[in-house]
Amino acid sequence: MAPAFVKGREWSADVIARAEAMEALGNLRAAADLIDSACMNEPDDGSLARFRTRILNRLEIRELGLVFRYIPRGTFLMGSEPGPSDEQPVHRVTVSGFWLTDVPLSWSAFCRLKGWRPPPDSLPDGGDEDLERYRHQVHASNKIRLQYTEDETLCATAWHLHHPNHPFNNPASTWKAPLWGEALKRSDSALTWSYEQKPGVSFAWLECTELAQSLSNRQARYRLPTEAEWERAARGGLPDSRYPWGNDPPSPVNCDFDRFLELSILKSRRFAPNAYGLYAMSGSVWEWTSDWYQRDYYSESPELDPTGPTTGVRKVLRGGSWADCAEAVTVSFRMPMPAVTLTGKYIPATCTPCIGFRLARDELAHP
Amino acid sequence: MELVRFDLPQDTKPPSDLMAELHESHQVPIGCGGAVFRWRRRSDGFRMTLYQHCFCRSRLILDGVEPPTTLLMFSFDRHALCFELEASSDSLVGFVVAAEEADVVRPHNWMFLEDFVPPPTYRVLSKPDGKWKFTRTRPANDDWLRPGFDDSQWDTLVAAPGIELGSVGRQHRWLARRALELGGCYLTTPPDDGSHPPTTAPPGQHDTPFRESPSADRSAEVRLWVRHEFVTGPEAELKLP
Repeated sequence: MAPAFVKGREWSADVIARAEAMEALGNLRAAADLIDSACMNEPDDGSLARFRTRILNRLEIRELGLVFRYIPRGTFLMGSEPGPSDEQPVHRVTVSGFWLTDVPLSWSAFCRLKGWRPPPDSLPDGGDEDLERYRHQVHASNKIRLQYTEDETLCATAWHLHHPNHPFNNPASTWKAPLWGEALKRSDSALTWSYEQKPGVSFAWLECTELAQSLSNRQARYRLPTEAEWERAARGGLPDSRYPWGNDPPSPVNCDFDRFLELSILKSRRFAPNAYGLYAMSGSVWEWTSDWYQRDYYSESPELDPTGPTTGVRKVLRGGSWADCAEAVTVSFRMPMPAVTLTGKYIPATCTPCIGFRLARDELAHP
Repeated sequence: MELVRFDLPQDTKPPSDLMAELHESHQVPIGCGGAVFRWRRRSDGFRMTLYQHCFCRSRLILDGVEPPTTLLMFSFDRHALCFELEASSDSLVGFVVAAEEADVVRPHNWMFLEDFVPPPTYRVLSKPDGKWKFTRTRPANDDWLRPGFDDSQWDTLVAAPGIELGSVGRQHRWLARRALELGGCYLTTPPDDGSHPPTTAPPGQHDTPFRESPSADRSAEVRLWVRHEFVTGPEAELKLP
C-alpha cells in the first residue's frame, strides 16, 4: 500500500504546518499527538523532534509540587520478541494521552502529599489511623529510606539504622536511640540532609493507590499508570527499541543499573530524559503500575487502552532498578509483585529500596 | 548444570536466562525486615550467603577482596576463601564458616519469590577435611589470597573440641547456630602436645572484625593466615548429593 505521503522534508514540513495550525487554535494535545506520531515514523527527523519537544514543554503541568509530562496519544508495538515469554506476543496497543510525573516521587514529596511530617520523621502528626494500619510498613520503610534516599548519601552502610525520632515499633517505646547506627558516607557531610532528589522507595502498591485517590479532584484524576501507559511513556516515541534511548545497551553514563554492590540509588535527574522528558524510566527503581500480572495477558490484551486482567494476586512493576542487570531494565520487562495487604503482622515484601512509583494524571475538566 | 526447575502458575514470572535474587537484612545493610532484590544473568555464576563466627578478631577475604556484604558472588571457577585471625592465645582461635547457596527465601515474608528461586545446591563448610590450611608466618605478599596459591607447606586446621553455643555472644549466636546447622564445624589449630584446651570465649568477647591493620594490635600474641581453596562448577566437589 502506498504511503499517504512521500516521507521526507516536504512531508515533515506539512506535518509541522498542520500541528502549528492546531497549536494556534489552542489544541495543544492534538498537535502533540500528531507530531509524536510523525516522529515515530521518522525518528531521525530533527525538525519534527524539535517541534515535539517544544509542544510537550508547553503541555508540561506543574502542580502538587510535581512535574507532569504529557504523553501523547499514540499506537505502538508493546512487548519484545527477544524478551521473556511474558513479553510476547508483541502486539499493537493504542494509548490515550495522559500525564506522568517526570521522575518517581521522592520521599519528601510523598510525605508532603500525605500531609505527614517531612523526612526523616515521615509520620502523621498524630493519631492517624493510617499509621495504625501501616505500623510495620512505615517503620521498616523509614529505616530503608533514611540511607537509600538521602540526596548526598553515597552508599548504605548501616545494617540497622533508626532515626532517633522513630519509635521502634511501639510508639510508646522510650527506645529512641539509633540501633546499630553508623555514620553514613555522604558526598559532603556539611550539606543539609535532604530527601528531594532521589526516588522514594519501599512503597506498597496500596499505599500509592490510596495516595493518588486522595489527591484526585474535579479537575484532575491521579492514579498509577497502566502497564501499557508505562511502556508507551518509557519508549519515548522510539519504535522497536529496548531502552528509552534506543537499542544500545545501558551504561553508567545513561542509566542507574547493575550497581548492587554499591548499595545506593542515584539522583533521578542525573541522566538525560527520554524524548517525552521523563527521567530514569530505565533502572533507578521499579515502578508500580495499576495492572494485575498475568503471564500470557498479551495474547488477549485489547488494542485500545488495555488495563490488564480483571483479577490477580500480583501487580506489575516496570523499569528495573539500580541493582538489576541490563536485561531487566528494558522498557518491556515485567515483574510481578504482590499487592500487599498492609494490615498483616509481617513486614510486606515491598520493604525494599528497589520500588518506587510515579503518578499518572488525567485531565477531567479545564480549570 | 541444571540449577533451576520451574513449575509456575500464571501469576509468576516465566523462566528465562535471568534469575531473581533476594538479599535480606542479614546480607545487606538495610535494617531488619528490609531486602534488596535484583535480577541477574544465570551465566554470571551463583551467590552464597556466608554465615561465620570467630572467637577471635577476623578479616575475611574472598579471592583477594573483602566482600562488602555477606552475599558472596561466585563465578564457575576456582576460588580462595581466606581469613586473617588475631587472638591472644591459641585457645581463642576457633571459627566456623558455612556458605550456602543463597536462593533460599523465608516463606513468611517473601512468598512471591518462592516460585522462581532455585533450591540450594552448593555449600562451602569449614570441616576438618585437610582443606583448611593455615600458617603462623605472615605471607610475603598477597598471592595467598587468590586461587592457585601453593599452600602445600601450610599446616592444617583441625576440629575444635567442645564448643557450646552458650559461649558465643548473643549478637552472633544465630550466625554460629546457622553455620553449625548447615554442617560447618569449628576449626582451630592442632594441639602441640595433645592437650589442647577447649576453645572458649571469655565473657563478653564476640567475633570482632578488624577495624585497623592486624599489625596494629600489639597485644595479639597469635596471628594466623587461613585459606581454603575450592572449585565451583558442574563437577564441583562441594555439590551436595
